[in-house]
Amino acid sequence: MPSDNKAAERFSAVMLNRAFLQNPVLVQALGLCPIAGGAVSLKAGLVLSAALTAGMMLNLLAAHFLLKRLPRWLRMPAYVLVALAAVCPAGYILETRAESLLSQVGIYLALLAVSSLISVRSEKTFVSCPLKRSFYVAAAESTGYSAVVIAVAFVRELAGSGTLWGRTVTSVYFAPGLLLPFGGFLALGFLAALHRGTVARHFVLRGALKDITFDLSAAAEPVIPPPAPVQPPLPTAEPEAPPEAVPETAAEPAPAREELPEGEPGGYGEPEQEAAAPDEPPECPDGPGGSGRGFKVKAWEPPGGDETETAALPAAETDNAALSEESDADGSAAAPEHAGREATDAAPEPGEGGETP
Amino acid sequence: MSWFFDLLSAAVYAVFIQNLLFSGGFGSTEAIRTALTPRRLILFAGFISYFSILTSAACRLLDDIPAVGALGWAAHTAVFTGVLTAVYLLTACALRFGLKASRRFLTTAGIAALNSLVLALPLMNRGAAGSLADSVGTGLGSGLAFILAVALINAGLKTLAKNKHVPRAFRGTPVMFVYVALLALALSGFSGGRFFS
Repeated sequence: MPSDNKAAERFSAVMLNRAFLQNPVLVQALGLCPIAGGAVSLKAGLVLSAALTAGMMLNLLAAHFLLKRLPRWLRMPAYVLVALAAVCPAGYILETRAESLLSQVGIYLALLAVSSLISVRSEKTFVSCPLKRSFYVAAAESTGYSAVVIAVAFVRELAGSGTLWGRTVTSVYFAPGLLLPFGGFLALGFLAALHRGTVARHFVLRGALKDITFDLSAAAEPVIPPPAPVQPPLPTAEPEAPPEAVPETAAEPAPAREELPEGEPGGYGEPEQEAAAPDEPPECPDGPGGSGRGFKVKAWEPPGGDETETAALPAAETDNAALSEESDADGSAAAPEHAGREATDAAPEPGEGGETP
Repeated sequence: MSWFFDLLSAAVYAVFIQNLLFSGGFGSTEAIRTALTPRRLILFAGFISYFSILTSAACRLLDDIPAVGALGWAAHTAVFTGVLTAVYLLTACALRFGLKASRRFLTTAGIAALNSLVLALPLMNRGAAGSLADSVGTGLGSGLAFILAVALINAGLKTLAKNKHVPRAFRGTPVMFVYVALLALALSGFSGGRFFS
């Protein structure tokens, strides 16, 4: 059915965007604590992933149906209590059936109740967007988070303990220190570099020096830049001159998408917009204001640094917990310190913008 | 007097010897994000210390009640999270209705209160069977540990942003993770242990 196909395309686009391109951990640096500390084995990683997914889904329902009318400062503890409803049963099951696994995940399972990923997504998406769209986002971000947790857990269990899924696979494990949080951050760093290289190679268009654009309007298909239009030959003194005589500068060479422009940010940022008023749910980025044609993020400029040395960093201003950047009582928006970090366009998924009448 | 020294040593331990952010990863998301915009650092750290002290002390006192002390892991988690939420709500109500605090101020308080650094302290204190002085001292140290972590990360980010030798794929978030990992490794050295076999 066409409508089913359309829904599937939208879901796959959201999945690609939220789970991979804007991975909540590797790009937005959300929910780091349980990964750095608790993801020390595959089993532990699976428990953390399942608990976070359950917490996210419960928060989706609660935020959508119950919490919209509360002011923000009351919604924030409500998110924690709702997530606790997922964490406690998981802890109870482990406590009664797998105590050794509970000791592995330790307090990091409990800390999922205050996970910044759940709070941010609840505040920025679940309270304001349609249920279907919120579900897509929740599923995609949970998948992205789980993938990172399991990848980090795999590396740390293998290199730190010499085991996989609790079974000894090698007696030559070389770095038991990787089981400490330092190992989690190190694994995250290398994973983020791999992610960034992959995205740069396959998805980033080479455009302006300081801007990158993800255009996902072709569903899940990577966007290949069209070849630059060949400009007509410049008028020369001799009109009969063959085309080879045209100066090379007449036509721009087609950009090679494998190569990142120098100084591109790579911090893909957060496409969703800030709340219009602090205590009101923010407008869903799928609203009429969204263009539905991807989002654009400017480069982060280091304080006092060279413009060409822009670096990709988590979207502190756009996302600092959805919760931190909002208007003052007088309605003036808080000016971000790194002005270039804010998303300039919302509505990242194709067709989503047109869905709202 | 010994109570005071217990408190002080717990605070110093939480800041330097076993920095809560680097040795446990607690509050690392907020530390990294605050390092990008450190203009509200002192306020944020003050809130963290305030909520940590109150929550840790309240949870420690609750644990002295036999019925609460005998609870299992899941129930303890629920109780401690409930205490944290209650402390935040009481504070927020006092700020909102008593002091007419701005919404932005309340939001900052909420982010500082409801993060993993604050909730981790009572859970850790319970595992370590810490005294009330330890709980208060660790709570006090958590804010200082946060300031130290943010200052280190902020300084590192500035330096890394100017470094032309960072490979392209590592620029930005990846190199920041690696940098935080090295800081964590350095501070973990104080607590001993074997890193490589």
